[in-house]
Amino acid sequence: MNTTNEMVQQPETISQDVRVAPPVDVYENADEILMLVDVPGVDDAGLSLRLEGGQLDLEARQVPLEHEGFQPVVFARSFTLPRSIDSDGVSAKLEQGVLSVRLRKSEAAKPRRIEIKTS
Amino acid sequence: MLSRWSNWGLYDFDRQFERTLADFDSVRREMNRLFDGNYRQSRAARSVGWPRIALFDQGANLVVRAELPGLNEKDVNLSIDQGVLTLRGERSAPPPEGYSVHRQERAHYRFARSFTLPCKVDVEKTKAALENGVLTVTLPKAPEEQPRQIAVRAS
Repeated sequence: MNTTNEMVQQPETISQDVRVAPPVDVYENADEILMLVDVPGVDDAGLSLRLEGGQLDLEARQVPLEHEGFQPVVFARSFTLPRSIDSDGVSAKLEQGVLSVRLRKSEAAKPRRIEIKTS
Repeated sequence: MLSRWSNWGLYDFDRQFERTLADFDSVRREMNRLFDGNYRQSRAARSVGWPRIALFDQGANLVVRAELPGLNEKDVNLSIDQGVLTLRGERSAPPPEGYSVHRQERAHYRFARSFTLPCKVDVEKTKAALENGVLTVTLPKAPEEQPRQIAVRAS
């Protein structure tokens, strides 16, 4: 067995991101769906939210440290949204390492009170 | 209840029986805790590895980095006693007012982690900052522990 040769033949690998699924809370009220995601060590620049075809893709990249030995992670998770979400009404805010995403419901999906008339 | 006999076999059986009863008792206590509604908290308390913490030796400083999403300055308590650094805190994640809950993965955590520092540090100059949910503690090493260059001379 020639180990040296094997090592030479192996293709070089590019170090890949460590992807982690962050914990998420999902809440709902009459107007919106609220998602809270733990993404510590992520700044605005490292955050990407994409809404396409009823799917919300979240990617949050930790700010790397100059110190070696620390492996920054990428928080990544996808959600399938209900049809009732207004795709223009999505807003996000990052505070103390917690991302809050507000998904506004479309007007048609909001609960409505129907008057009952007695004849 | 069985009485204890001088016969060893029966004595063993007796002890075994008592142990089984004790097992039942611990199961019952666990069930009670489950139904007390404290389950969420107890599960969080039992899980290890929160917060995620890294320690570095940067030569002149020791650095502690802890990921504490959702914590304010007042939620974190940091102390140094006889070369042991202790980080305590609590993260509560109550559901917001007026919302119904679909999914709750962000647990309530109460944590305390202690680290024996590998060398003397200058406590007065120690700094701690909380940014983007990450606590960074910078502990400058004591003057006698600072890295030093030693000149090599040819004799």
